[in-house]
Amino acid sequence: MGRSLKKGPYVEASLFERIEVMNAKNDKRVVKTWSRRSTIFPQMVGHTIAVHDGRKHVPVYISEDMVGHKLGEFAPTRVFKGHAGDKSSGLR
Amino acid sequence: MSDRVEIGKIVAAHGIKGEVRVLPWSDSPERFSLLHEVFLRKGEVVRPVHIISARPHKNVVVLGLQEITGASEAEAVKDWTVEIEHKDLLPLPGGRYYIFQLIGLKVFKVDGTPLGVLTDVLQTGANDVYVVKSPEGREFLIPALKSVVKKVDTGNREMLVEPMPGLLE
Repeated sequence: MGRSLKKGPYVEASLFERIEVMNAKNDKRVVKTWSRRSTIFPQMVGHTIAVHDGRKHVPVYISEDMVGHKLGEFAPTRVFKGHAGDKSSGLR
Repeated sequence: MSDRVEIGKIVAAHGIKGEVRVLPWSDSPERFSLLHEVFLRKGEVVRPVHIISARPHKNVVVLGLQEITGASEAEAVKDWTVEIEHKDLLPLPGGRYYIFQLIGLKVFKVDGTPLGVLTDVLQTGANDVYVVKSPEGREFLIPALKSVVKKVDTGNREMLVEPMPGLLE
């Protein structure tokens, strides 16, 4: 069963508060969090949040299309060590 | 860096006409149809072969090779890797780099302070993350963002980064 609409989406209160304070100061420092279950709010867009993957904090840059997803979706807890082959990587 | 790049592995023979099934290690499996010559490798043994047909099939690519004409020959190259020369790599748009080009780059802060060597690239679903290991064994995770990665020089094997506050703590 889904979460009651009355409650709104879940976000760790301390994380949201830190984001709001940074927005007020126009500060863009990296915020560390263990709260993988927190929903990405529009206020987080443009910030880099280091999300814990069980071992380390993975820096995740929040963009507009990530709003509504959970932070944990962007910090995989299992990393498949495959062959790099001719895969490429780019800057966002 | 090796002069060739692995792009897949032969996992089985396909049919009785000597075709082989290749598990692609590539972002774009359709690139096989653009190739003419590839190299099959097992250990130190390298065998150049010519592609006469390539088509996707489920999660593999079925290759027809000029030099392999029967099922038993195709079975014999099972577990061989498929390699191409650097000149056959597809050109990438600006700001993109092949992962094998990035691994081993020396990473410096913009003020010249050395951070370490890039050892891995994590593809998370959001931005890519570069894993940088310092000589002391510390691991730094650098997000692949234009605001952080200021310069990638694959020729001189260097990368310049400007970490945002709190990133290296």
